Amino acid sequence: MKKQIKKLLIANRGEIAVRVLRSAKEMGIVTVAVYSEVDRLMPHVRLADEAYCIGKATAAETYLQKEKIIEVALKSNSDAIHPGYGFLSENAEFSKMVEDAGIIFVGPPASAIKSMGDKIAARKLVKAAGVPIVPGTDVQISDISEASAFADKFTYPILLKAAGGGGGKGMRIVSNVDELASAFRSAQSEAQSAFGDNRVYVEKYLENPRHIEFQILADQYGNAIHLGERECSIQRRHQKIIEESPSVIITPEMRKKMGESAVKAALSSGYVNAGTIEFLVDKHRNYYFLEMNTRLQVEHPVTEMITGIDLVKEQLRIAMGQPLSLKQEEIRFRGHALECRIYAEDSENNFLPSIGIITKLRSPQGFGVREDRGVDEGNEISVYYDPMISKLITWADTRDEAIHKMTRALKEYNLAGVQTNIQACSWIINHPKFIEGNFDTHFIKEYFTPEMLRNENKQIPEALAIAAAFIQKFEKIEAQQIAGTDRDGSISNWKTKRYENLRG
Amino acid sequence: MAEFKVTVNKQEFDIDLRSNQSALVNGTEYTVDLNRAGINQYSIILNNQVFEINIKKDGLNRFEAQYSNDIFEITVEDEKDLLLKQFTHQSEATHKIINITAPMPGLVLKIEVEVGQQINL
Repeated sequence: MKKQIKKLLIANRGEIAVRVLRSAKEMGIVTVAVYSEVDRLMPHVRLADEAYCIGKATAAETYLQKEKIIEVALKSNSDAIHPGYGFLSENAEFSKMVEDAGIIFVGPPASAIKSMGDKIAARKLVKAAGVPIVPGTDVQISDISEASAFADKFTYPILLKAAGGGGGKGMRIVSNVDELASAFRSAQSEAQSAFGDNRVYVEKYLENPRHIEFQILADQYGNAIHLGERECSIQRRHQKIIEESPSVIITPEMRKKMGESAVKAALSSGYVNAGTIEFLVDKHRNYYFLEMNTRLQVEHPVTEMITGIDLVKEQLRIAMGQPLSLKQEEIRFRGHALECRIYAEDSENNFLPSIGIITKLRSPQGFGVREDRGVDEGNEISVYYDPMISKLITWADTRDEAIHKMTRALKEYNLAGVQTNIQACSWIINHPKFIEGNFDTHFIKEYFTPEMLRNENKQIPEALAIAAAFIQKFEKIEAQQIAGTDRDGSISNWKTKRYENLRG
Repeated sequence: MAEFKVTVNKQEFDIDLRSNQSALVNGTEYTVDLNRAGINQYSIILNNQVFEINIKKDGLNRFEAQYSNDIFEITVEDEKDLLLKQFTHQSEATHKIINITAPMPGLVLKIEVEVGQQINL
């Protein structure tokens, strides 16, 4: 059924809220922001047409408040809610509450979120659709003897995984039988606290896999297409930091086969809207379904850059009941796109978040450079939310060119007030293994050490020393000026000429 | 004695600002073009090499700077600071205070110390 979206509430913050808002505005849709008190001056609020404060600060009291957000949507006469990613984006209950309130949820139906959110159910569904899955138990295990029997059959290492959710929570690699009992207990307990569900199942652990995901789009009429793959193997603490499309290891034949599997997997759950099928690819280039993300991914821009398709606009059109405007054979892939997630974090200290006010922010620009950013100069990176500053994306005809462009763009990034992973990103994309395309999900663990980021430009301390000396001298002269006289009573050139440049 | 002794994360530089466009750093001459580009933001061209730096005052003669991801602590001491420091060091090292003078005229009512007593700083 076709419906119109004239007003859209964006139930999110940061760069994704800005990203969604921009596409919506281009479609002539009025945008409604929700915000916490601490986010009042964030770009997602200032760029919106309407904005409603929904609480003080923490995610629990603001962006995770289902009732409050629906209340604002009704009060503002919004026709639809876009959940972005994170927060309530994969919450089946929220999706249902939105639909029940007579508002369009820009995302999949609650049933699809639910079946793909349950890892055991998802494995069963996609297996029945003929999609390869990592060997594992199709039911939860209740004690270690079942895991041990699985390991006897498939050999160690094995992986204990939470059935109720992903993101590395409730996940344990078990290398031998001695580790099994404690790993099982801790996986169960972590799964319980993260997802309120202590169910755990077993998978064969694939060593040195690559993380390849496929973007899919599905409409309400059973049509689905894929938009190619994204390579997301560069991760730290189970979080992706660099993504690219296409992947260097995917041949056109593999792309076709994996793409078809992705579409089958999506349709197996009655999926509608944009989604991502994640695969693990082993060293023999066998691929296995890992999980489905029932939302727009952080890294979606690399797909947009090589296909020329605005995924947020497609999401909104699908949500309005329009059929897919493109057929699979009409999708063209052009060039190469690379994305670096710029985080406020200390790369030299285990990538821990770095909080504070951004005192300077100058973004890189130029042909083939895109930045999706959710903060401005003067905004604060607080303890309350994810410390992502922006996503920097480069596009070029070839992978090498995209890497050169990204290296240049990262150098051009001028940001002060918090520490960032800009240097770490630059180091990664210029590492010989990355340039060769020879890497897997263990890249950071294997090759990265903080010492590698030490600045080798010996002139920097000299430049700083000279700048500090000049500033000190200027301040001294200025103080004397205020006092009215120089020591010798003359008018110095220092104060009349050169130092004018140092005034604020 | 240099006009300034600047310490950047324990690395020391003797600096003479010879004109508004040149500096002598540890005996080497540099051409300098320093311009303020915003609050705590400076663009410096040092022998034609360009640096964009973030530097802010963090005390009377102390600065904190950020370049790329690195944080630098900087201390700038001029001739007067150095002389004072030297004097303090000498005092600590030699214990040769002969006369104690008062900053203004007044009547001495009581002396709390005796000749030969050690002063701990």
